[in-house]
Amino acid sequence: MAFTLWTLFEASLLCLNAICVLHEERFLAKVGWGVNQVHGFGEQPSVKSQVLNLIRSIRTVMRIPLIFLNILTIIFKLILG
Amino acid sequence: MPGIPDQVTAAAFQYGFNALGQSSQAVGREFEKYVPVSRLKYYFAVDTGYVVKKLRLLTFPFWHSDWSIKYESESQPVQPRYEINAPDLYIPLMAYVTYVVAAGLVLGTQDRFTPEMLGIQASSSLAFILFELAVIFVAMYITSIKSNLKLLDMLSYCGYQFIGAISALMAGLLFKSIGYYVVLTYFSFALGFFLMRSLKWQLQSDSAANQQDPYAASTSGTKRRFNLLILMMVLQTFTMWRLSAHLIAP
Repeated sequence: MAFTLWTLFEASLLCLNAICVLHEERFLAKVGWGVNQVHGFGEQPSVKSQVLNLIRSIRTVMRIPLIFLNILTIIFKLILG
Repeated sequence: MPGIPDQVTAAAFQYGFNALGQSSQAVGREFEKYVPVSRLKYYFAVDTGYVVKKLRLLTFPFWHSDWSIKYESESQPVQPRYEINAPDLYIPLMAYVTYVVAAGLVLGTQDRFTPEMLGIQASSSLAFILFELAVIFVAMYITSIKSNLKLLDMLSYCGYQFIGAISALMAGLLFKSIGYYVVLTYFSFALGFFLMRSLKWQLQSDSAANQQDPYAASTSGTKRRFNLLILMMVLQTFTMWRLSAHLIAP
């Protein structure tokens, strides 16, 4: 397995796509990972709330750039095989 | 240019140079936001004595007793030249280049060398380092461990594992498989000990920072710090192994 910069880029692109595809209402709320269900103002945010914050912020921030990155990657793969 | 008085030409040139200077300054400022270039100088302020002592410390950290770092201002430690416990980027950079060359050497002794392999090794190990850094930063965010360690500090602590990889490669060259594995396990322990001692006081959890008494670490914070350090040690051991295992003669 070649662990080059290109494969790292591809793998991270796939993971980010996977995170962005999780639907807020249909899926996350059902599992108990919804945005409104974890709202502690305690001293230290739990691990779960941090993970959910991370998922939500990735979905908010990376939606648009991911579109362009995906288009670029598809073009590259079509050209270079 | 004919027909245009010299003063206008001179003024035009003057204006051009001014604009160029301003735009290059603006570009420099923007670049500084993403890659802290002025901070980089701190990490390369080393001298020969520091390098020798630090290498000795990395290979045998068990006798060293004083792991504290002197600070000269709020968040800026003393230059690595004067403080052996401070992280630097010179050793990791040199170790990275030496690793690529050593990989080429080891491959050459097995008749497996092609010039493309050098490039592949270089980019592959860079990818490993980036992956490690990403995992560590995500773990630090998830467990809400605040620390003063910036990107460049983490980069330097992750770069020290190349020393282990190089030594293991050289041992594998001289003593075949058994020497390689012995040196690899020794360096895993030595590097783990080094990381444990160096980073114990530099990572602190959020609750410890909020409490009245900043010197007491809460129990959950200590456990998270400990787990994060274990994660770092495991990551670096795994990476050291992956960086060198495929280069050893079967």
